[in-house]
Amino acid sequence: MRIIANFHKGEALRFISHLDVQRLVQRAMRRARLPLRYSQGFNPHPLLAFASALSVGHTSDAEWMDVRLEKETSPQVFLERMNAALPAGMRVLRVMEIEETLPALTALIRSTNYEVLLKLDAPPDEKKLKETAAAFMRASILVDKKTKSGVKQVDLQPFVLQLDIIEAAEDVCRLFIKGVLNAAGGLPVDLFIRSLMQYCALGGSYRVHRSAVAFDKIEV
Amino acid sequence: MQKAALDDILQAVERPARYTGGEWNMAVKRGAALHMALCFPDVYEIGMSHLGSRILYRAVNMREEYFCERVFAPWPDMEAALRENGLPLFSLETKRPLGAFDIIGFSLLYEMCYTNILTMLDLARIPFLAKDREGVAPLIVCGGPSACNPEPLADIMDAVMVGDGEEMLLEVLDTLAACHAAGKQKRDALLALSKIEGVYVPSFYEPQYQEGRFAGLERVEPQAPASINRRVVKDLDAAPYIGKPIVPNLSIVHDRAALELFRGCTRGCRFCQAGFIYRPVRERRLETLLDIANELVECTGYDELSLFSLSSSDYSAIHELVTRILNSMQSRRVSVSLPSLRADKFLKSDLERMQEVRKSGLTFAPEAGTQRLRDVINKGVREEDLLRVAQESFESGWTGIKLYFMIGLPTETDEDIVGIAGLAKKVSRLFYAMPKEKRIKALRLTVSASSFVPKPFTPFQWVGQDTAEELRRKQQLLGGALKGIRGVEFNYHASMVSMLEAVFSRGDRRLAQVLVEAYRRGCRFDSWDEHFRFAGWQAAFDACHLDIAEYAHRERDVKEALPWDHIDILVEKSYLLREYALAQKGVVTRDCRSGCNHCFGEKYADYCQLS
Repeated sequence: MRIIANFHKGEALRFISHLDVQRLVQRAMRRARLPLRYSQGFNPHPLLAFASALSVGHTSDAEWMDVRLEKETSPQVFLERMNAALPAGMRVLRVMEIEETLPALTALIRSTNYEVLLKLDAPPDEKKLKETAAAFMRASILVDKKTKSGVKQVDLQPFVLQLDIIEAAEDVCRLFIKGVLNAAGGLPVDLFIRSLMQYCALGGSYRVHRSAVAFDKIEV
Repeated sequence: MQKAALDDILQAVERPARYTGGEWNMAVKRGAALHMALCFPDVYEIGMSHLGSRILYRAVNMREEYFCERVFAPWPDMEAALRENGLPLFSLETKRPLGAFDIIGFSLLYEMCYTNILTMLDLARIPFLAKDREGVAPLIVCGGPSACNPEPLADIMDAVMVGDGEEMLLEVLDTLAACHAAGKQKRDALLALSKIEGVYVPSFYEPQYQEGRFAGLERVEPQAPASINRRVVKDLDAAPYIGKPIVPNLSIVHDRAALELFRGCTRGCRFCQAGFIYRPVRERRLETLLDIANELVECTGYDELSLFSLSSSDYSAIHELVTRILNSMQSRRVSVSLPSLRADKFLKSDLERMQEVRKSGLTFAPEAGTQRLRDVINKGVREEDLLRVAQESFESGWTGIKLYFMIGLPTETDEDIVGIAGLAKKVSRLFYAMPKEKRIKALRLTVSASSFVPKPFTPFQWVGQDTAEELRRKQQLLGGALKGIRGVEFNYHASMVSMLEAVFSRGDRRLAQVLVEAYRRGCRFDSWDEHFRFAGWQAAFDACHLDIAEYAHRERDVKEALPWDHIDILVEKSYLLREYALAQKGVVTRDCRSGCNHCFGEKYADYCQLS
């Protein structure tokens, strides 16, 4: 059977990489005695996949794993056993059974929402900030992106679906960002935030939390 | 710890999960009477791979009244960030500042981590030298294999634990807790600790020097023992093992469940310190091992189990053990590995089965390139054994083999060096002599040559190490001889690091000052190529008016006082001398499993079940 499970990656684990998450989930599944299915062939590997990789340092309520099990297991049992075997900082929130024949989640993912908390060096002028941010969104957003072959200039504009300034008071500012995320890539949200901060002359630090993702063909 | 500041720091450093803790099976406790920081003077990925520290962590935390937390050396970027923000080094479990612990214990696995001890003390704002620390807390102690010659750290450590730690450490904590309760002064606490078998309190002894050379240690506290007997856990079945070990969140060097089959080794390779300082061999019973293996795999979720020992395939019931472990592990998709194989004890059928779960590389350590030199070092492996094993593993589908050698061994000639390449060539030819369809992938034959470092408590403890120039010449000679052999990849160690390792492994008490000087000149993580700065070390030796060559390259007279003579390691010095003489004649000594060689003498004869 095929199960997809939505999980939370929190404060205590926000610094571990995607590869670490894969290992951690696999070990937790073994501790939970969940009968993971393995691939056939010379080097069998567990049939465990993820919808997308979360950047190191971000937290999320919208991570998804995609697992094939050898035996029928109810979603509720899956959730309870996993949560008893996961360390602090990771928790399964929802579990659904899906069709075996559906494509991989990486092929179905379309967009993702981020909640961003800026801790600013100086209190911003909310009205002016909103105007500047709107202007920022109207033009191309050129950033230098590090790739394997060197630094490349890319325009982030087509990857940003929505930017809202939820709140700007005292020394904090809350943003909502909806970005493209699919098999080909997605919005590099850190680059986007840094570019926005620079454009709006905001100094300070920020934290990113992924709050939701949307898939094609699966309602979550 | 100020959480906000720490958060910002972690955001900026490399691999921040090294510092966050919170792993599965981490110990959590409230209201402990005594807090211990178990320190490993290297990064998390190295320290968490050390089985001994895992055993101690478990042993202490089994006791309700004691809480053992972990502290690792911060990588230089983290060290800089902590300094910049005025933050102290802290534990992974509760983020408690290192300086706030009652006892701080360092695991010493190799000499080239010593500067990191200073980094850790410095970041805890603890004075380096024991004499500058007045209170009982924090008490600074150490243990582990490198502690068998404690002298280079003697001025820094309040007490040193020599030998097996799992029982001794608990006695140290019990004694310390009693001293705290009685409000004892530091000197009285140290005196109480010195009564524990295996504990050495350096300040109760004073080194003597004649003409700039170590001439003996004088006891200045009459109540302290005349010599320190190495501590031995006699029954490993009864001793605490790692229980529910921590499962790291980030990938570490040995990221698998480790099952220690036995302690000690019966081979008697003359260069090998572990072969002498862990005697006698003590095996866990088969049933104990099977139970531990099950528990380990269940509570960690690891899919790999490593049968760990100095020479795992020497376990008395190795064949039955491997068969039974494989039977229980295979259905759970847990692969089993034997990391210390002997070419003369190769179990082809077992290895083939081990490979059914996952293919891994094979490693062998012939150590020397000719039979003559292998006889000198008492490495009983014969060329035909090695070639047979290579042939069998190639036929079973292995394509990767690692061969470990040492260069700079006593009596070595260029012929021995070239012999290494000769052996590699024969292995390579065996592979390419197989029909093409049987070769799944290209051969990966790794030839690794480390530089010989003479170590205390070995028959070679008197030997002068080759100079760095001579080691480099031999490395080049070998590199040249290996050219053109198909599938070979050649690795070797930096000769300057090996030279300093030789200095510190056989050093005396004056080296603590060198260490401090080197630390002040920025030396850190000296076993990491990217951080090793020889110039800093040279300047430190110069500043202390000490000579590297005197420590590393000088051959010791067998009558000379050695800085570690006050440690009774159980193996008699006269036995080491006898072995040294046999080595020079190229005469081998039998494995103690085929008959006792009387290395312990009368005093400890009953310690060894084999004698």
